[in-house]
This record gives sequence, C-alpha cells and structure tokens, in this order.
Amino acid sequence: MPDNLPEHIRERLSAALETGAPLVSPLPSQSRYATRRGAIAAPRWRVRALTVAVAAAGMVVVALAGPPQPREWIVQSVNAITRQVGIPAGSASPSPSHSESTSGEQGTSRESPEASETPEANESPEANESPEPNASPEPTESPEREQPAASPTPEPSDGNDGGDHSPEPSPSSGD
Amino acid sequence: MGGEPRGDALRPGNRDDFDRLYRESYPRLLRTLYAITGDAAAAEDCVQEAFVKAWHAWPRFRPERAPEGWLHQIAVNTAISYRRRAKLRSVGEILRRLGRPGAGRDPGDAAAMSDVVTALAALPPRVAADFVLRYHHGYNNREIARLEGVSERTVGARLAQARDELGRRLGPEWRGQLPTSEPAGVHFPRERTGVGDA
Repeated sequence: MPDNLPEHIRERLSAALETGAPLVSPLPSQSRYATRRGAIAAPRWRVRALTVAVAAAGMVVVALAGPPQPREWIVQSVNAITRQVGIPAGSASPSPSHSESTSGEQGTSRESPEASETPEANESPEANESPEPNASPEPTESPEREQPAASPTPEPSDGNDGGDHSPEPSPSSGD
Repeated sequence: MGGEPRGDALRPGNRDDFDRLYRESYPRLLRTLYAITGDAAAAEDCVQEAFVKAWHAWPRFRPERAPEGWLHQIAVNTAISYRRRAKLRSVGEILRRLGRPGAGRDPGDAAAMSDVVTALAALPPRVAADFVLRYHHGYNNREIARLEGVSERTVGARLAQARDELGRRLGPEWRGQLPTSEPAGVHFPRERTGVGDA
C-alpha cells in the first residue's frame, strides 16, 4: 500500500488548511484558559461541596423524619404478636381443667370470639396492616390454642361457624 | 516537531510552562481541528476549549508523557464532541424545518471552504487527524502512534482509509503513490479540480 502522497497534493493540503485556518494565535493572556483560570476552579469546588452538604442533609432528614411506616409496621406487628401470644399464654398456662371450667363458665360467649378469630384473622385490622407477620404465628399457635378451647364444645363451635354463615345470608337476603 | 517542548522540561501546574506549551502547540492543533470540523471558527473554539480542559488537568500532567500528544488527545476529543453536537443540532434543525424550505448553507462559508477541507471534514475525526499529522505536520507513523497511544498498524490503517476516501472524492492522486512509481518532478494529472485549487 503506498504511503506517500505526491508533493503537489501535500502542497494543496497545506494551502487548504493554512488559508482556511488563520495562523495568528492569540497571546496566552488573551486565551480562554487564562481568562477563566480563577473563575472556574472555585465554583466547581463550591458546587461539589454544596452537593455533598445537601446530600448529607437529605440523608439525615430521611433518616429522622422520613418514612415512619416501616417502623410502625414492625411495632404494630410485634405488639400484635405479643398480644396474641400473651393472652393465650396466661389462659393456657393453667391446667386443662381450668380452661375447661372457664370455657364452661363463659359458654358460648367465649367460644364465639375464639372461633371467629381464626377464620376472620385476615379480616382483622391488624391482619390488614401486616398480613405476613400476623399470618405466620397464627397457623402455628392457633391450632394449639383453639383445640383445647374448642374441644369442650366442638359441635356448637363448628355448628355455629357453619350455621352462622349459612343462615345469616338467608334472613338478611330474605329481609 | 522540532521546536515542541519536552515533557520532562515542563513543570506540571506551572503557568509559564503552560503558556509556552500554548504558544508552540496552538497553530498545529488549530490546523488539525480545522481538518476535523471543517470550520475555522469552530476549530478555534475547540482549541480554546481544549486548552481550558488541559489547564484544569495541568497540575496532574505526567512529565514522562509527550505534552503535545496529551494536548492532541484532548483537542481531538473536544472536536469529536463538537461534531456530535453539531450533528444533533442539524438533525433538530431538519425536524424543526420539516415541511418548510430549508435555509441552506451560507454561500460565503461554502465559498471559503475548499473541497479538500470538505473532504477531510467528512472523514472520521481520528482518521482526518492522522492524515493531517502525517501529510501536513510531517509526523511519521511511529510518532503519530506514540502521540495517540495506538499501534503503528492502526495509524497505517487510518491513513489508508483516509487516502482511499479522499481519492474517491478528490481524485485518484490522493490515494498516494508508490515511491518508485513516479519519476522526480513528474506529477499525476489532476482529474478533478475544486475551489481550493485557485
């Protein structure tokens, strides 16, 4: 591959470049970098410092007063779990006879809330707010707690559950 | 190439040394960027902008580098950015003028711009830069390769591409000649003349 150009072609190239671009170069004092020397360095430094300061302030604001919801979720979930764990723990720690006696004393008034807790757990406000934390402890704990509570009167509870749902629509719809 | 300052003779961050570099490099950079942009005013603007960038990087300049190669890279990158912006502007202008008669090119600019510069500006920027460095500034392939931090093979390929493109646009004599094929003093006949010939 040829690497040389004819002399007249080189001259033509030089003539085109020299006539098009003036040879007069400005003095260094007149150049753009000389006039911008001090003016650019300072604002860049200031802009960077300002950006860092604003970012830090934003992070502090977000950390302190930002989204409170995640923490509230945790607090509410923990409260719900402790409430649910704490109530049966107090009632389940005594002997089964005590539980039977209490269930026997309260009768249907005690059964209905316990029976309604498990199926309606998804409908409770706590379950709506944090479905996952409430859903996880209940399946493990509710069968253990429900069975002793529901075992004395299995038929009424089942009958109430099944009967409550089925008869209710018919009168209401009939009315 | 002879008068350019050596890197180890320059003190990074020193204003006087940078001024000296500016005085000695400015004409060469201006011509190179003129070939890339095809516009003298734009070339001047790019050279000035390149020196602004270089001034900011001057405290970090490594003296073992060739200072003009360092400047050359900054300047060519600036010209490439300019060309990209100009292309985007022209596309935007076309879209804005859609359906209306275009303003066309300024006849004064068209007359002032030779066909050689037009053909050079149509080349890829680095190809045009290498062509000017080789055939106008007088660098050899090895020096261009060192200047740009690429291999000599790359430089050779770029020069071949430039000669091929220019030969297609300006005439076959721009493709070059074999050193032994032409007797001294005898020129190839010109097939095509342009504005720049005058």
